[in-house]
Amino acid sequence: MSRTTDILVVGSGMAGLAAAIVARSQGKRVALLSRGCGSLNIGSGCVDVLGYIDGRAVAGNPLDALDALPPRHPYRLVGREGVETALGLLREVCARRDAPLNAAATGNRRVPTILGTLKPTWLTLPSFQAERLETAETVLVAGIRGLKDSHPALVTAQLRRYPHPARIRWHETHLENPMPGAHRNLSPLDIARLVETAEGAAWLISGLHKALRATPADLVLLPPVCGLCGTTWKGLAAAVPVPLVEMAALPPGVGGLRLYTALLEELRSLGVDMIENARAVAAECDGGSCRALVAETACGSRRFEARAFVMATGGFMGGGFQSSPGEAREAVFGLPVLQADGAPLPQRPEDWSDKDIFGSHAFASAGVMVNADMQPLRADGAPALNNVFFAGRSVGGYDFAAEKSGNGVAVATAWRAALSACAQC
Amino acid sequence: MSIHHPTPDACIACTACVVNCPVARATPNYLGPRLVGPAYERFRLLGLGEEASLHYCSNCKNCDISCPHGVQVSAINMTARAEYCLAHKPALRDWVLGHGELLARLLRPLPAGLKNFGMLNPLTRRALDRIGISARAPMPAFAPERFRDRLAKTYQGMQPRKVALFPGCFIDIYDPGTGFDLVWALNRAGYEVIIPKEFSCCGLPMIANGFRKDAEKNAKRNLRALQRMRAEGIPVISSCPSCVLMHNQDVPEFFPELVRDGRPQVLDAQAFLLDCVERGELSLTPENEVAERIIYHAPCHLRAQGGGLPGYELLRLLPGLRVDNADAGCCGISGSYGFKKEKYDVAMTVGAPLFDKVRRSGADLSCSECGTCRIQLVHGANRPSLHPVSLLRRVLEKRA
Amino acid sequence: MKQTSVVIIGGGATGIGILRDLSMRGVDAVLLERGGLAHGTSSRFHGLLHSGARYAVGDPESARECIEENFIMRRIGKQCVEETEGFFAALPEDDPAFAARWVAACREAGIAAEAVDPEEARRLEPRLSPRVREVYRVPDSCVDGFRLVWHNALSARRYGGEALTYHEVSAIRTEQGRVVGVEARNRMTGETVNIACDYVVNAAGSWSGVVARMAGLDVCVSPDKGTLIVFNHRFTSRVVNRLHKSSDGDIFVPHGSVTIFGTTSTPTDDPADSAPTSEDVVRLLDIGEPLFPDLRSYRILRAFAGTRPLYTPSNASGRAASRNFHIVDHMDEGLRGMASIFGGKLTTYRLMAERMSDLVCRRLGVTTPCRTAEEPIIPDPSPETLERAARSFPAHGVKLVADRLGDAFAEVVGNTAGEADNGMLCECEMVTAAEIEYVARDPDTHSLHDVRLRTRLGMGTCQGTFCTLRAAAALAERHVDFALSPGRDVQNFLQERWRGLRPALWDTQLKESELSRAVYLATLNLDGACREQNN
Repeated sequence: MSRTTDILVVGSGMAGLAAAIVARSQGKRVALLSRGCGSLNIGSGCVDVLGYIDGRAVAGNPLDALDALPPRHPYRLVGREGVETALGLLREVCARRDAPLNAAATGNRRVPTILGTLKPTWLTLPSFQAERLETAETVLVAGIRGLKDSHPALVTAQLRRYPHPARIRWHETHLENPMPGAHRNLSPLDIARLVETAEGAAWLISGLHKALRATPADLVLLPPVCGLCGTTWKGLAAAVPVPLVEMAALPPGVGGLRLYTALLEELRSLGVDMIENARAVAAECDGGSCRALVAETACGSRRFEARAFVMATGGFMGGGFQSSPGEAREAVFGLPVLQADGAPLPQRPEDWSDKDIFGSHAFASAGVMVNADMQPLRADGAPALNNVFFAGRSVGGYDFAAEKSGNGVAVATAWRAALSACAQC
Repeated sequence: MSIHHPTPDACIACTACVVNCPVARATPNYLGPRLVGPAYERFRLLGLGEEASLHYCSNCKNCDISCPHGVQVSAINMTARAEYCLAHKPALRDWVLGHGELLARLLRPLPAGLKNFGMLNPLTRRALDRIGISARAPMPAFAPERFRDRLAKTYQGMQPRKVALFPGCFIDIYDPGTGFDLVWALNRAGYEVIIPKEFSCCGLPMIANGFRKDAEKNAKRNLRALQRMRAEGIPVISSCPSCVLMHNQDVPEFFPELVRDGRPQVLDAQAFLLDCVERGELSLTPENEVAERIIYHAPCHLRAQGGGLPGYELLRLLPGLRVDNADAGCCGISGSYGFKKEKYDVAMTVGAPLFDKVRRSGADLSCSECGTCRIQLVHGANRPSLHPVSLLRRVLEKRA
Repeated sequence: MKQTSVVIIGGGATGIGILRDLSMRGVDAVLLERGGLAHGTSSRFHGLLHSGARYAVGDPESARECIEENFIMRRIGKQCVEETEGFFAALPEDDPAFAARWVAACREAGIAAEAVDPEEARRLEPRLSPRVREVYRVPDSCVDGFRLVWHNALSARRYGGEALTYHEVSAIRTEQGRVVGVEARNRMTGETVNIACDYVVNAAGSWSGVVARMAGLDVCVSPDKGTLIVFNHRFTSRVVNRLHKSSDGDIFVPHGSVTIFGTTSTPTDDPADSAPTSEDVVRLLDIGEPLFPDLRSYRILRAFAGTRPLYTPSNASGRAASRNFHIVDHMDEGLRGMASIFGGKLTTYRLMAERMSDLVCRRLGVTTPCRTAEEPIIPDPSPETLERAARSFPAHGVKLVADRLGDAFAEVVGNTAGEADNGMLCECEMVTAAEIEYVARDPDTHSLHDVRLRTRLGMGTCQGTFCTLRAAAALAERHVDFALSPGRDVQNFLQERWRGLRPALWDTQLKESELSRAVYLATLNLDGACREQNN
């Protein structure tokens, strides 16, 4: 098969979906090639922008803190204005698709988690409006019988250890198991899907009413079980007398699936061609540009031609990088995977990481070096290819996990990469 | 370990397959693809007993499609099922569902009317229900004559090129009409269609029902013909996505020793037609004004092939048709899965979002490459359903 | 002050075996262990229950002891043993003369070594190299060292023996050339414990040199570090040994759901040196590839290392040092009431315990004979218990849990009866909430890390990414508190897993680590919380 498209986007995580939407909105013919569904749809769906710089919490609007990042950080390459525009576009799309995202007025939201921690993030769905905790005095933490991932006792035991919300009185409750006799461990996703049905919603509403009668509270914390679409959330929020706040949870994190579904709907309505289950493994390059990608599929190798390519293939986890003892390469073009400062990764695998699991690991911020157009760079600083652009975790120079910047960098770099790709064709 | 086992090593337990498994969504009684597949595979290698809910896996392959790490979850499940069936003899029902082609061959002497009267009357359906084939499930009717027999008697005109067609059981036994629509399109593109005599059931229903040995026997037969076609330089195509996937992916995965001399290539017929259009062999100039609204359903086994949706692309190239992609996931039938009495409700729950979308689409017709998907679409959404090549013919053929 | 007849120092297989043996003979005994039970060598080896074939050529005495103990262990400790049998496989580059010598030596030692057609061997073990030239079947098996120690401890408890974990010996008291007691520090509380006794047994393994010095003695024991690799799945269902002169990296052992491959041998000064290195891991892969050509494609879960306490009176070290055990009665050096035991291997732990207990009994004037070769360590669960268990545990999890828990199985099954749901918290290794709660409530359990050792929580594919949080949550819900806050406990647990991941951090395990960071750092902000929360 050799039908040509304008822009081939590779990867179906946040960066890939965002890049495809941006490119298609510019009127280009876009195809999205993916192997697997990416990691957006298993995550919490919080759009982190920047929570910490070197372990220090970012105060106020995180966009104001971007300048404090090192010059090679992807945010610095995209620039504050670009980041803001990209996030604005994401908000528009999500609002259109019944998954509205917004930010708190004063700074990062500190979203409670099922581990009883608070996680700083910027844009969230309305169900994660954690700032409501700041005015609450009595909080009821609800668990659900049969749901193994989330126990209120752990949440309250841990939240009490924060010096700040110490004045809050914490209470615990358990809603009855809505799917007794299930053969498997229930996940929040199972319950969120149930809540999409009329009976499920009735179970949740009456359970919360009952719990609040027994233990009056100003606010209820619960696992991310409040359905999958915005309409369902609105219905629940209106039917319960006090604010509900969802906690971020283990995969499958539900929140991410809500965003993923919204972005997919947008892509499809825009008419982006989807090629699933194809793993890009090689590129046909001609001098400084790429003609086609070769993908491995269930039916052998296939070629995909395009005029420009956006690579949102992820890092080590996503399969964008391949690694063997002491060596890592970008998986399609074989580009070097370099440390944040541009140095190669150490030869000893042990030196890729710090002894302390929460320490600073060389592998965590390693990636493809790019310029401000998101073009991959050669060792001499010149673009390695003129029609290939990287986005998301495959870009080096940031540690999404420590910084809490994953989806933010993904959206910002995707926006820039997609526009650069459009400029090529 | 008498059977080759696919490795569970690539699974990092990320839960992507759990999110995307239609059966797990439909019933909490299924442990889910990650656990039944790669996680429990580690215990099966230790010789521990089978997980009770393995039979829920419908082999629809959405786990494979959604896995970012290349774990062959469905192959792991089907291997486990094969081993389970070595130890526990499968039920008569599963034999019947796994051997549709053989059954048809046995019934061949009977005229279709009689066969269909025999198979589809309420009394027989009740008897079939008793062995586990749901009386509520839609059953396809036998065609008066097998597709390949009729094709052998059909004059195709003098064509400059040849193509071999793997018809698949559905077209061959129940739906020759679609087969002839395809032949019509291929003739128009200048291809004479041949069917090598060895071609028999691809083996997917056998694998799905636990009859691995029988699948291997069929694979051997089919490979003989595929290798001969390759030697003669004749491309082999199939319009059935499940057959294509079985030949290209599952046979090499399950029986690696059979394909030591190279993997067989069976091309998607619709992709082949698109290539014909691109090469200028097939013109898409319409003869008829067909202003129909079509809602297209992509079979899971087509999505799993990694070649996009060539049938959908083809439809979108046809002037006059307004085609929307339903994009509502699996229809639930998954070959023979939805015919099973204890799975019927699961299959209908799986398909519900799709049925809903089709019903609300305002389309007159639904369209899909897979025969059993079409049966399920008619059953669940109460709309007629056609194969893309049939629509192609409707638009392009000059009517008398 | 506490009073007992015998103090045993060291909670590995040898020490705990001695505790059980003495307790069964009616001798009062207290065991002191500086860490958790079996935290040293007994849980840091490949898990091979030797047939003795490996020692047949170089050390016939060890070989004979091994084959005898091997069969005793299958009888008394079947919950800890998986009877897999073993292969010895020679490749074309291996010396055929050695194989011939080895076959003769096995016959001499009474070890059945039956030739297997290489084709047949490959049918049984399809991942084995097609280049194997000669294969023999021997009665090797697999043993779970950690579980063995725990089951011995449970049995010793039944007979009145006491094991104090996290108690580090700080002094051995002597009066007029005779041992009178031991002083130890409780590492969890900081308290000092004094125990008066008549006899001290030094079974501290790699630490026995340190212990002996407290009594002013010098013993010849050299710790020797061995590194091993754990693979994610069983790619062999038998133990596979390379048929050549014993060397590094020539044993593959299927161990439950994983395969363990080792071992290296490097002399070290530090008995606590259990840090595996990537050099060792890569070198092992090089060595192992000829027997299993796809070895590099199998996913490594982690690497670990332990130290062997080699007895080196003549300064032999590494592979040259004897793998046999030695008992030194310090009376010969002028100190009455103390003996040390060194060397040996887990396979012969019972025999070592028997010999040592014989000596202690002789010195104490006790004449009751040893019964450990006859009496099973753990009685079989009753059919009723198994039937009840089948209702609250996943079908094929019942045997796993029953074997893991030993004595406690009936109680855990009883506990689950009242629960509406006994969910599986660790889905990779099938560990249920009831089992975790039971183990967590044991006074010897101080952290999730301790829970892991007894249950295999977090030891499978995800290496704790999902189950750690679930276990912490379930324990909080059941009001089981540890010294550390749940957040810190989870961090420590992950940190311990991290130690084994780092030397093999590439390919799939690097993916897994990136997922784990995405969960614990990006989604749950545990790193930030550890800075911001009070413990």
